[in-house]
Formats: sequence, structure tokens, C-alpha cells
Amino acid sequence: MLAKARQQGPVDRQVQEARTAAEERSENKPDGESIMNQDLISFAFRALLRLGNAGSSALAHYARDKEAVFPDLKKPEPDLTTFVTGFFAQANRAQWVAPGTGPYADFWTPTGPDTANSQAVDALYIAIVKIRAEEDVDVAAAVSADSEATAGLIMIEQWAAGSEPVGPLARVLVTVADIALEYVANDPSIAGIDGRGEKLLSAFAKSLSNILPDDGKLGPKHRFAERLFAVALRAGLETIAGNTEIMVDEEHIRDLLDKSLTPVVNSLPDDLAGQLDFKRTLEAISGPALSAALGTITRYPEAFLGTNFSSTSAIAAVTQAVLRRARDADFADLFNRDGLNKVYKAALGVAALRPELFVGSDSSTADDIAQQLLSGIANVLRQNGDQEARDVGPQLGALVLEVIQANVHLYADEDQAWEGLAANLLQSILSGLQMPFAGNGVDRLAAVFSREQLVELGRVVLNQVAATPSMIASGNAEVTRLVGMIASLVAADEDRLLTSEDWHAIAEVIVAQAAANPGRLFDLDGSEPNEKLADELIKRVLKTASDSMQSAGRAGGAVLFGKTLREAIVILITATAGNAAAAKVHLATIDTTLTSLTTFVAENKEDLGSKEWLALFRHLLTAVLGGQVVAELTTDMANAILAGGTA
Amino acid sequence: MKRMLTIIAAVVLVASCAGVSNLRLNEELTNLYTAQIDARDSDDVILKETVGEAFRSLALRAEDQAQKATTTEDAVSFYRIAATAAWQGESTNVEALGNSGWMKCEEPGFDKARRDCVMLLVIPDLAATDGLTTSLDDVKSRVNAERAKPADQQSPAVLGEIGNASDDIFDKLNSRFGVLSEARAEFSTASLPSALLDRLKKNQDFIFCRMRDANGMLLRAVGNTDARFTRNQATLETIRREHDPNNQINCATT
Repeated sequence: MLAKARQQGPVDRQVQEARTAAEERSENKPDGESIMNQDLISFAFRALLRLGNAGSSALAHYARDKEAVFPDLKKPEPDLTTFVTGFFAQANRAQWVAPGTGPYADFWTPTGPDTANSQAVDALYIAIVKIRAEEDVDVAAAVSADSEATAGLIMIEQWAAGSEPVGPLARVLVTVADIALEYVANDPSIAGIDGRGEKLLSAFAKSLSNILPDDGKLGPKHRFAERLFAVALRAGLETIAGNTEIMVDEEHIRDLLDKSLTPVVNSLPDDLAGQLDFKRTLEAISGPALSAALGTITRYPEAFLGTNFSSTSAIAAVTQAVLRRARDADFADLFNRDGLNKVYKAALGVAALRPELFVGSDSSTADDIAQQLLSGIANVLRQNGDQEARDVGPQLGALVLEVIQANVHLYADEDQAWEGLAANLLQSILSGLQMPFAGNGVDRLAAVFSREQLVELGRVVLNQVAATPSMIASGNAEVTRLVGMIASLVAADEDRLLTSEDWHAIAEVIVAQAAANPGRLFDLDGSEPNEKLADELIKRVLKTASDSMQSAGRAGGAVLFGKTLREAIVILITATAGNAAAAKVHLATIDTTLTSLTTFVAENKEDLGSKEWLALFRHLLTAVLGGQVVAELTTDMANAILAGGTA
Repeated sequence: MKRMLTIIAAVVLVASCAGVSNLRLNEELTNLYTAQIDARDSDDVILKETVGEAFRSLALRAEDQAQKATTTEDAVSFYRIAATAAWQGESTNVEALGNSGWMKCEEPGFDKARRDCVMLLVIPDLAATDGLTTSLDDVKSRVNAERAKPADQQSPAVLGEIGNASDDIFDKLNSRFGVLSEARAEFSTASLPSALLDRLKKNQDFIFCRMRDANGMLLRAVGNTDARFTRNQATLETIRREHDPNNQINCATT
């Protein structure tokens, strides 16, 4: 049965023919050109995917020869008496317990261990340990080990090493065909004529041919490459499966694979422990990373039209940087998986749409820039050890990158590399968020905002900042103070009269006014730390609102909370920004007006509400800032104002 | 039209592809076995039963594929999956599945699945060994309970029954040991994966240890004057001299 020579299947023949053809071609080629060339790989794909029975046969062959589990036999219940009895019941052990002559005969009876002697089994076990130790078998260690722990997954190959019908190179091919078929099963059009998988498979074949050896002798790096490329193919097919209208040139995919994976493969450590660590990390992250990279190509097709490869190169640089750094324990500790994914995807967006940012100079390559970008963000996270900051930091980092990508044309500061700018902006935001809570974490802020809302708050600030490059020119101190001021206002709202959505709207107005009128309401340059007019005004509104809620409550006519309070703050900031000097002079009057108006509306709750409060406030605030003396509010006066008169 | 034909061809290719089914069923077998190890480690009764049911389901599906297979080698591969799953699911048809697969292996000139054929040959006996191990545990409990009583309260009838059971288990284990010996002999000239050879040897070690346990139970039940004990002792010594001449088998962990 076993003696018969192996039969050669149709695909075996096809592959053999292709290999022969490749070998013949190679004889006419310069030394070193790969026999395992792209034609052969492409041929294998076509053969395995399209040649019907032949492809099916090759896959079936591969499937049959895959490792198979060989289960353990069921372990018996452990029982020392049984073990001891079985040992001395053997003919070659009987002399140890032979009546009269055996050294352990006192513990033994014609029916096994002496059950009348409670120590017999233990004594006989110790005897076994001694006997077996002299035979170089460590019974004590074996017995103390958990017998279940020795059970494990034993996988058996179909063939002995060297006798398998499929060689290592063919194995590479069927392995990848196996992956491809998995996806074809779900979406047959992937393998159709001009199918969406065609370009990917072709690109994959060419890249793989560059890295595999001529002679088919696969070393650790080649096997690692095989696995990494298999992950890449799977990621690519996943991307294709999710994009019915994928439009991308084969050259771009190949460029991405060559520039991102090949350097990573080549950086595989020489030592076994290093290799294991490297593979473990890479296997965990390379799938999602490559999927994101390929996804970026499909998401921004306009960036990849034509023959300009700079976007692909930039994406490859970012991908390579992430794959290389991900194995650093420190790096993994700073970014959680989700956080790294967000930063990475944002960086890919920058690479796709602003590839010029990755154009290196004499002293730095695109890879250097990508590495510095990630290192900069990692350093900021490292410096912000607070857990809340650590959790929200990567998302804010991603946000910073998105904002830079959208506004990069505004930053022309040659003294500050953009990758450094990203880190500085992130540091500014994180520092600002923590300013009012120094020494107390950001718990208060976290109590008001969810993580997503904190990121959204960062987005509000960053979008405005991005549109005002001068805010960044001062080394980001303005950004820090602005974020710090907003954070301190949130902290001042102790009664939670405003929701996070309200604060979001207020923050938009504050940032817009700060950008437009930096010196009027906000001490953003730090020159007059005691004069923070906007801060003071808003806190007074919050105090009035809080007092009103405590004295009257909603049932008692208090209206200054929620949307009304938000609108009041917006009116106040907008009005005073245009007349900051008057606001400073009449600060006390504004305060009095706020209190008297709030009390007046509460006392007339049957006739007056939120809408009236806001209308009256707008009118009275204008009067106060105009230097007018505002008389005590009466019903007639209020009615006149609300009717459009001047009172 | 051409594109449509291509799509249809691809669907037909995939739908009829034994390789895809084989890969999936084999992967399912591996995953289930991993789950079973977890269930065993955690002593989770519900998980054990769930996994057992899944094994039985897998065995049925793999058997179905084996019967539909268009090539002998595919049938053998599916029968190997079916027999392994049935063994782990403690189905009653392990032997039938093993035999069906082995008959395929014995077709003239067939040599396309050495590992699978060896496994098909031994799996029914390994499944039976699992059953005998359970029986042996039961015998152990009974003999320990009986011998724990004062001498005058121990029942000769009960002990005699335990002795008969122990001897019966010994004989059956001996048969299983023989099958594994035959398998190793039959494939001795073939080049088999070292892990498979190692596995067969370890399974023989295991059976040898259980045979030793069974004869120990016989001793405890009926004493060393019983002819069956002496006979079994001689059998064990013969096996030991051939299989473990240097006393390297460690029954404490085997």
C-alpha cells in the first residue's frame, strides 16, 4: 500500500511545468534573479483559483496534508494505592516485597499494600521513589506535577519530514491560495475576469517573489515573510471584500507591500527569543495595520491615481513605523490597541492626502519622519502619566493629526517640523485639560464629559486653532491656556446646570472669540494673569444661576439653567468681546443686573420665562455696556422692553 | 456573459471543493479539542457536555463528506476527522468509522495519507481504551471501598466480582496494546512523522501502565495465589522486556 510511488495531480504538473519553464528562463537571466519569480507565483494563483478541478485538487491535497490533532488518552483518576500496587505487582519488582527477604515486605501482603498499616502505602511510595531514582526516573517530580498539565494539543503532520509530496515553495503557494479561496467562497467575483482580487494577487505575487530565495531553502526570515505576507493577503482580501468599487493600481499595492513589509522582515532579530517576541507582536498587530493601510488606499482613491507613488510611500513609511515600534513594551504600554489604531489611521490619512509631509531631506527619510511622529506622540503620552489623560490621549493625538492634515497649508514654520507640531499640540491640549485639576487628576472633567465628549471638546479647540496659525506661533501656550480656561469653567459648574452639549456650544464661541479678539477677554499670552475677563464673567453667570436654582428652583421660577444659561453665556461673551473695556469697568453692574433680572423673572414666573429672560438680558447688557444707568426692573419696564421699546 | 460564466464557475469550484470542507472540518476539530482541554482543566461539566455534543455533530458531518468524497484520499481524510470527533464525543460508532476509513486505506496501491491511515487503524482501540480507563477507575473505587472495611466484613463475593472485572479489563487492554504493536509493525517500513511514532509509543506506554493497574486491582481483589494474577504478571513481564527493557516508562504520569 505504501510502496506505490506518489501520483502526480494536475496542478502538481502545472506547477512543475511552470517551475521548469522558470528554470529554463533563469538560465538566460543574470545571476541571482529569482527562480521563485512573480510569473510562477502568479501562475500558481491562476492555476489554483481558476483551473477548476486542478485548483480544487491542489487545495484538497493541501487540506489533507494539514496538521491534524491527535487527542490524548483519557487520564485515570489519580490513586496512590493503585500506583503502588501496580508497581510492586510486577514480576521484576516482586523481590522488593517478597515475604522474608524483600526490604519492604513489612508493608506488603498477598493482596497488595497492608491496609491494616495506615503508613504502608506512603512507605511503599517512598520506596518506589528511591528505586526509580537509582534508575534515573524522577517519580517524585512527576507525581507532584499536575497530570492534567501534561495534556495538550498534539498536532501531527501527514508526512515525515522530507517525504511530503508538496515542497516548501509549493507549500507557500497553496497556503496563500488557501487564503484566497476562503474569500472567493464568500465573494466569487474576487476571482473573476478583471476581478477586484486580480490586482492584489498580482501585486502580492511580485512582492513575495522579491523576498523568497532562489533555491527554495526557506530560513527563519523567509518563513516569517511567508506568514507576514499571508496576513497581508488576508487583510487585502478583506479590504477588497468590503469595497465593491475598489479602484487602485497594482503598482501602488506592490509599492506598499515592498516598502512596509520587506524592511520589517529584514529587521527580524537573529536570536530565537527575539524572533519569537517579534513574531508574537507582529502577528497581533500586522493584520489590522495592513488592513487599515490598504483601506486608506481605497478610501482616498484620488490620492493614488496616476503614477505618483508618494502617497503610497508615505503610507508604507507610517505602516512600517507602527509595525516596528509596536514590539516595544514601552510603546504598547503607552497606547492601548484601540488608541494605536486611531493614531495610526489618522497618520495614514495624513500620508494619503499630504504625502509631501513625508518627503525627507538629506538628513531624514520618510521612515524617519514617520518614526519621529509616533515617538513624539508616545513621548507626550509618557509625560502625561495620568490615567484619564493616557486613555484620551491617543484619540486626541489622532484628532491633532486630522486637523493638521486638513490645515497643513497654514503652517509654514520651517523651524518646527510638522511631526513635532503634532506632538506639541497634543501636549497643549492635555496640559490644558489638566490645568484646573492640577494634583487632582482630571476626575472632575471626566465626571462631566465622557471620553468621546472630551475628544469632541478637543476638536472644537483644535479646529479653531487650526484656522488661526498665530495661536500656535507662541509655542502652543495659548492653546494650553484656552483649553485650561474652558476646563476650569466646566469645573466651576458644580451644580451641573449645563450639559456637555451646552459646554460644547459655549466652547465654540469662546474659542472663536479668543481667536478673533485674543487680548480683549482672554489673557492668552499670560501677560496679565490676574485679568481673565471672560473667565470672570462666565463664572458670575454660573454663580447667579446656581444661587437662583438653590433659592427658587425650577418650580419657583428659576430659568437660568440648560439652554437658557448656555445662551446667556454666549450673549455675554459675544457682547463683551466687542466692548471689553466697558465690561471691565461695569463688571459689578453686570453682576447686579444678572441677579436682579433673575430674581425679577422668578417673581413673575406666570408671565415671564426663559425667552423673556434672554430678551431682557440682551437689552440690559447693551445698556450697561453703553454706560447707561439701569433702573430697578419693573413690570412696566419689562413689558416695554419686550414690546420693542427702549424703556 | 463571460463574467457571469466565470462567477458561476468560481461558485461551482468552491461549492464542490473538498479542500475547503476538509480545511474547515479539520480546523473545527482542532478548535473543539482545544475547548475540551479547557473544559477538562476547568472541570466545567456543562462545557464538557457542550463540546461533546459538538464533537458528535462534527463526526456526522465529516462522515457525510467522507461518503460523498470522489477520491479515496479525500474519503480517508474525512473519515479520520469523523473517527477522531466520534472518539472525543464518545459516540458509539467510532469503530465503524475507523473501519470504513481503514478499508479505504487498504485499497490496492493507496499511499496518499499515511498519518490518516495509521490514525484510522488505532483510533477505535484508543476510544476503547478510554472506556476501559473509566471502567478501571470504577474498579479502583470499589476495591478501595471493600478493602477499607474490617477484614471480617469484606465480602469474598464482591471481591471475586471485582477480580473478574479487573481481569476482563486487563485482557481487553492487552488486545488494544496488540493492535498498536501491529500498527507500528505494519508501518515500520514507511516513513512516518516522528511525532506520530512518538504518539503511538506513548499510547502503548499508557496502556501498559493501565494493564499494570488492572493486574494490581486483581491482586487486591483475589490475592497473589490466583492463577490469573500470575498469568497476567507473566504477560506484563513479556511486554515489558520487549517494549520497555530499561524500565523507562513512568506510570506515575502515564
